[in-house]
Amino acid sequence: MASLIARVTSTSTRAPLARLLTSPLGLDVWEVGADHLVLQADEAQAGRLQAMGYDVEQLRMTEQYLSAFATDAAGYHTVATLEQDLRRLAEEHPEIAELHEIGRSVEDRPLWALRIGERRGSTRKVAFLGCHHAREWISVEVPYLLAEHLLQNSSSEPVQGWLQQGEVWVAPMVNPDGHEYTRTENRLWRKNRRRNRDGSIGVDPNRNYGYMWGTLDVNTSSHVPADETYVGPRAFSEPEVRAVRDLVARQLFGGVLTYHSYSQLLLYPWGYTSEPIEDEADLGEMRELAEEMHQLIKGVHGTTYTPQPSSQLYPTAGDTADWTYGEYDAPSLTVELRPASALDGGFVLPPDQIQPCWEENRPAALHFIDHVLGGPAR
Amino acid sequence: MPGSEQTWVARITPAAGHSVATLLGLSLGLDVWERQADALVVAAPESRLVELERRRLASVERWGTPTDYRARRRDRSADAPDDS
Repeated sequence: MASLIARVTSTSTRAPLARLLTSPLGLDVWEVGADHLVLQADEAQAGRLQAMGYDVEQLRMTEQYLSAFATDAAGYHTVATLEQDLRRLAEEHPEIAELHEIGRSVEDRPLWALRIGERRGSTRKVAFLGCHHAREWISVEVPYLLAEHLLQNSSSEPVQGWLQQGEVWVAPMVNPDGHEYTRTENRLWRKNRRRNRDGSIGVDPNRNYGYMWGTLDVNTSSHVPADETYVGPRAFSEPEVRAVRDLVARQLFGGVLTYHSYSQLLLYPWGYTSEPIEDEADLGEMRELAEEMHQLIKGVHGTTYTPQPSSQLYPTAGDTADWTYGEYDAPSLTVELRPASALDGGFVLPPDQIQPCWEENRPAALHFIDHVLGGPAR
Repeated sequence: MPGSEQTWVARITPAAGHSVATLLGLSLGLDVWERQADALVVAAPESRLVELERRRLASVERWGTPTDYRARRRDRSADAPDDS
């Protein structure tokens, strides 16, 4: 018998919703609201509910829902396929690519970074990071495609020149536990999978870095463990963030770019304060870089990514770019990828948007590399 | 308890005399998805949204549960042509 997903409501006192949660009707309840339930049921069960006095609104057939979900995920990497693809890239280009395990997650998954460059120990290095936030799937794909592009074009200019004089490090998935959870349990999960003292789950990895950590207590940088932007019990409390910290400390990158979604923005420090960076040369450099990247992105598909200080989006203490700039003086940008708004998909970006999103970000990422590796040594 | 109550995806617009920055400065545990010029798109438990309304800080337009939101996204992406 066909199975369907239904929203069940009731205005009848003889049919209270709470009864459905305890009654032995064999219902698969997916969601409990104050005034409704969403459940999976077969057609006979749905008919029985109506006979009992409940209003039953069919949302979708279950098969249709599952195929839509599969479509939703197709084209995006999983933790496993990302590892496979990174290994393949390293194996196909052994002379210039090395896969490094830079740490382990809370649930003991490896965190991978691909080093791309002809020489080891170069003093010019740039880093690209992705997926601090689990639900931002596109932020895995853009840095991954960047790594693939660099390796596929390593014999032609300008990539060859960059890889001769410097190194590009790409870590596409900083938060593998969270990503896996979005794939298997909750597509809109944001944090890592740390079990907090109060029993809640997750620390926001992009609030856990050590520059001005914990100096705000607002919606977007919270000290409440259950909140989506929980900063953690102390700076660098999370193994995923420590892995990035140690990588940055070892490699001393001349520039760091971290991908997020969504809103189509190019953010430069500070996040923790609305005051501008005091060093006017640094401010000018990052503002100009963001402006140039904005133009490059716009030139591909006409899409607008707005350059602005991070705090202009909202206040964030303990984020990646504040730390890499504040601690290391490295030009540091956060790129918020497609789409522009929740009405355009928000975190659930259709997979057919991966390629155009990469295409428009490619020249901007290459410009960032050129700026860091091609400029004067820092 | 936020963990056991309904979460909404909502657009919250500051009430007269308040600003988007005012809303961002609160410690209400809003999961801010998007900042617009005159509003925020957030995911938040019902009690937090009620608190915003009760304190007359913002008007709240509940777009749906995260599940509703995702289902609508899937429907829309299945229908929409690629505009890139």
